[in-house]
Amino acid sequence: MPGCVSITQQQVRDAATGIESDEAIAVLGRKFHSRDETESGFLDCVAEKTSIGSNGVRVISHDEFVDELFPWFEPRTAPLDIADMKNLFARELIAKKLREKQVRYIVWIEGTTERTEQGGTLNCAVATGGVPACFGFLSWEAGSNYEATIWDINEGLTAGKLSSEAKGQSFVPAIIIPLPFIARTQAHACTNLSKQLKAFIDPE
Amino acid sequence: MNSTVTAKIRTLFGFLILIAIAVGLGGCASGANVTKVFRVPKPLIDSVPIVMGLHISPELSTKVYETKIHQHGKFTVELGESQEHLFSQAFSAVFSELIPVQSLDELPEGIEGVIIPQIVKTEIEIPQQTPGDFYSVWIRYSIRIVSSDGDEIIEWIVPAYGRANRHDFSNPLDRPTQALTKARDNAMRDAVTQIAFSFSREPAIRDWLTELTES
Repeated sequence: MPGCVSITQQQVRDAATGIESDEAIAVLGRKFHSRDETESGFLDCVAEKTSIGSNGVRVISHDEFVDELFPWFEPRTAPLDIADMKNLFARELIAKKLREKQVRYIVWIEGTTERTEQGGTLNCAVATGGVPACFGFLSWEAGSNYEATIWDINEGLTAGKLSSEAKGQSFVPAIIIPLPFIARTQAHACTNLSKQLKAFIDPE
Repeated sequence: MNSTVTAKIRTLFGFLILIAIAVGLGGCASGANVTKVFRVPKPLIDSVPIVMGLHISPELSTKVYETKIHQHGKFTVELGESQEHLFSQAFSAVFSELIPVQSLDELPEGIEGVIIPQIVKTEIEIPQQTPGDFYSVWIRYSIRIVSSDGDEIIEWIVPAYGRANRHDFSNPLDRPTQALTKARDNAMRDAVTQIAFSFSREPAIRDWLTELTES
């Protein structure tokens, strides 16, 4: 059973956008060797949801993109800003590959889902007669905070930034049977960010 | 309540208990066995117009890392089987032609030098040993470059690192093996990245390559 989730979204537009039907966007996760990184499942979710629906766009997944452009988008080599990207684009091998893949926008996703304020206990045991039973109460709050930075490869500029923040309280009361009420904050953040992304890239 | 309904309820309860046990087992992982062969794309870089040899020693091609972590079991990481692929992909991008060298006593004609890689140290770390959520793998490579005359040009050390977030793997029973496989693959990928990016920029190698290409 779903728990309640509240969502906050923000959008900053720095440039006009648009996309042709044969062009694609690459959805990439920022990978670092020294700090938290966005979950693969979230990147896959955004890639999938952005590619479907009436205003869906062609999406190249993180794994496919970094393999095609190996080793230029690895944790120790990926461009950190649009100026770095322009330097990369000046290399003919890379520019050719990006043209081949018809990549118009690179979308960098950063953020994670974290649990906070966990509490309670839940114990399960086999009761008399061989029937298992659980008693107790568990609760936790989860927060999913994600940000997408959109680079326009053709124009060589940052087109804008989007953010999606989902918060929710989950709880599992158990009197013999555990009844989970799970706030799926990450799924909501994914759906919200994907909708924003499609509307941002192709506003018409 | 008839007996069929009672049986169904018991089955449901049993299922819930099994889930609780599975989640519990996920919390106390019992080692991992990484066996999957690693694959990496050929780096997208300009190559130096030089023919080089690559010697993969039997010691390197059979390398397996094993360790026991107190209360978390035995961890085995297969490394050797992937090394020929790793170095072939990396150096066939760096150099215009790469020839396998079976024996250092009998070098093929036409090569300018031989690349001799070794693994000198391997370490792993699991999330239970740290405050974070990551499985980590460190592989320290030594790459010797020997000219066709037998002179050692350089011994280059490549400290490769890879990690994987445990939350990216949903099955709690298989998580340590899957995450450690991903961390090992990321470490090997990091080694190829460093070779592709930094090899030709090492001063001793750069000077040697300049000498060869200008002669």
